[in-house]
Amino acid sequence: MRCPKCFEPRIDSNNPCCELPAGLSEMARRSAPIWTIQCGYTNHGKSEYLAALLAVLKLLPGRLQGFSVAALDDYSQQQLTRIVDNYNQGTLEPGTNPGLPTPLLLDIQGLPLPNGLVSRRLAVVYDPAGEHFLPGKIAAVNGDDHGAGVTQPLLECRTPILAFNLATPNSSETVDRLFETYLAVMKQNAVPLRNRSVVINYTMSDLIYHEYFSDALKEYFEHDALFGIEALGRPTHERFDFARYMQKAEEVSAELREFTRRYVSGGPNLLSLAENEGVQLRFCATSATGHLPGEKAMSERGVPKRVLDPFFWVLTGDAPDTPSDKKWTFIVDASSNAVQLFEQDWPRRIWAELSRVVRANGYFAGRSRVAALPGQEFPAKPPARKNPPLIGPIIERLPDDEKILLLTSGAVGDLYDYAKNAAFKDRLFVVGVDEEVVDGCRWRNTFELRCPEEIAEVCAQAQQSPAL
Amino acid sequence: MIVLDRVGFPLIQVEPLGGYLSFLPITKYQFEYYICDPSAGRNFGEQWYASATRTNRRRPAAALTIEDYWNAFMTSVTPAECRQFAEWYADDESQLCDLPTDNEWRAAYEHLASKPTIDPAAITGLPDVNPRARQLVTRLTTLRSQQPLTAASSLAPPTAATKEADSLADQMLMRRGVFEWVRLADGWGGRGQPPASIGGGGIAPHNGSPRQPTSDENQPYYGFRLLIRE
Repeated sequence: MRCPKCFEPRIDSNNPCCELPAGLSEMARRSAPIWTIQCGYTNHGKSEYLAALLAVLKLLPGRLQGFSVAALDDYSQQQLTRIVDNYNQGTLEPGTNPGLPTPLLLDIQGLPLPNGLVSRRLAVVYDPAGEHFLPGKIAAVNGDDHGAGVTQPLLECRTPILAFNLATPNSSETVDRLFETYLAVMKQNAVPLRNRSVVINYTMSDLIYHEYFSDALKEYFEHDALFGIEALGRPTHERFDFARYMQKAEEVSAELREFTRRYVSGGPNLLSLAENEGVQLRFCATSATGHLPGEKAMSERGVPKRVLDPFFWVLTGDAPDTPSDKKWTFIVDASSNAVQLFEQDWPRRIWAELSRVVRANGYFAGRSRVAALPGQEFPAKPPARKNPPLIGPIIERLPDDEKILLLTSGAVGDLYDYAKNAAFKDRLFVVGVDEEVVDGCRWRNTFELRCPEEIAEVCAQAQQSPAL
Repeated sequence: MIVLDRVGFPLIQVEPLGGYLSFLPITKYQFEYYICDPSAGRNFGEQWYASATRTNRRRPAAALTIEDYWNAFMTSVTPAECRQFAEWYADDESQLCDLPTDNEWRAAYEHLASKPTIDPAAITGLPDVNPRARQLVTRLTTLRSQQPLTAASSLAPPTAATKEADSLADQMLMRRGVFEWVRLADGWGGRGQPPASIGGGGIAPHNGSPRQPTSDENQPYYGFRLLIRE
């Protein structure tokens, strides 16, 4: 993990950096951090959105059993307390300092996942000032421009949130220009854009929804039986169905996409740009306060609207490849070395996570017959008859553009047959859950997994592989 | 004429036999397709393969050296196991696939020893050749160009006086390969001539009686090649 403050490439417990909390590197080792950054012009409601989100997250344990959010360092705790207290007292966030943004480091536990499991993640949250997103203010990471302060977090962030206030009086600030700025940063730093996700968060939507939204969209925006402010005060033991919630959010996103095309200045250009660059856009409509506040304070109690949706999209889109037609092959070592892998349920957990982001076929190493098709569960146990862990007879039959993920617990007999084979060396990724196994593997793309969710990271790196 | 087997490894037409002979002894890479095919009938499992490769270890083709190039070939297989593999290996039922008889092996050797080597590109350039077959043929060609694969490859290269002519049979490693199971009227024998380091020093590949090991089992330097006829 990069240092979230100075962006040194690697932090670890032996190399404390920027006064980071001692346990941070260990936490990052256990689960891939979520880097989140809001991009948006000045006075487009970014800071107030973050305040509302944090206030709601603090109330969420009442609805989601086991959920918690906690600061990981003094600065974050101070800020978290201040922001949430201010929000609850109706005080608006002051303008953000245009200097380098200091991130909030949050430990979020009990996060819902589409497969019904929960996870724990380190969240690195940036709230940069709008000045950073004016044209010409963004630089390459090695440039001198002060915009480099948001460039590096943007590069780390898998799914940025572009916050845009549709009621802005400034006609030169359009949503497509904001998106163009994001594209320019990524291109300037040679980051592949294809299959990345971007959340378009229409902030302050309470100001426009009555006039522009369809009845169904109005209903969704106004009434949130699960996470509305009233609902959050009522504890429930009902199990939250994340997949179902996101299915509805997907429908809402589709409707807002159409709304963007028809009504939003620069909307058609935004959609074309995204399509041409292969960036997947998700649309949300939120309101931090639920009403038009005064200059420094809310005029009523804050009633946040759908502020969790962008956050949930960040969680879902944490992998750039949301379920798509991208084909992967997942091969699991089922040799006698792999007993522990199955005892700890790694194959099924990784398969569930992988299936969330790509379409995959599953195999046992040493067996050329498919063990699991897309939509099926991966077998909980290895075959009774143990075959030598071989992959050649499986991978040689695959299409040239299909990527391969190999979960191994030790030596795979024929892996190095392909070490110098251009057709495989860049599209075969080895993952292990044991440090010794990973350290002993000489395959160029080898990753150690601390938790199944990190598969999304591996997929992300794979997408940037030069093989395709 | 070179053709490819069901997994993309080369076979060569041997006119006197009226069929196609494996260009090289059957490799571990080829055998592994059989091991991994759940419909193949017999289960050669993890323990079996670990035991079969204990002495003659498995190595990637690109990493083979002059000392161990024979590691590419499948050994420690009994003739019965070779024949099970042969059943699976034939593309369809119209093909007869088996270990050659002793006479067939010797006839093939004499025929091929009289032929010059072929351009390896005749194999590596085939569009459907298996990538590992391509790698192996390329690697063996490189090794042969660096140092002749002599019977005692750990010794100094042969002098002009002792140097033998390089033939297609040599290129196919009928010499300096492994012992190869052949069918006899009353059982099984071994032909071919491995390097001296694995027991092939003073043996002529085709003259005299075939080798007759006391057991079919645990023969780490006995491999095989197959003869296919329509």
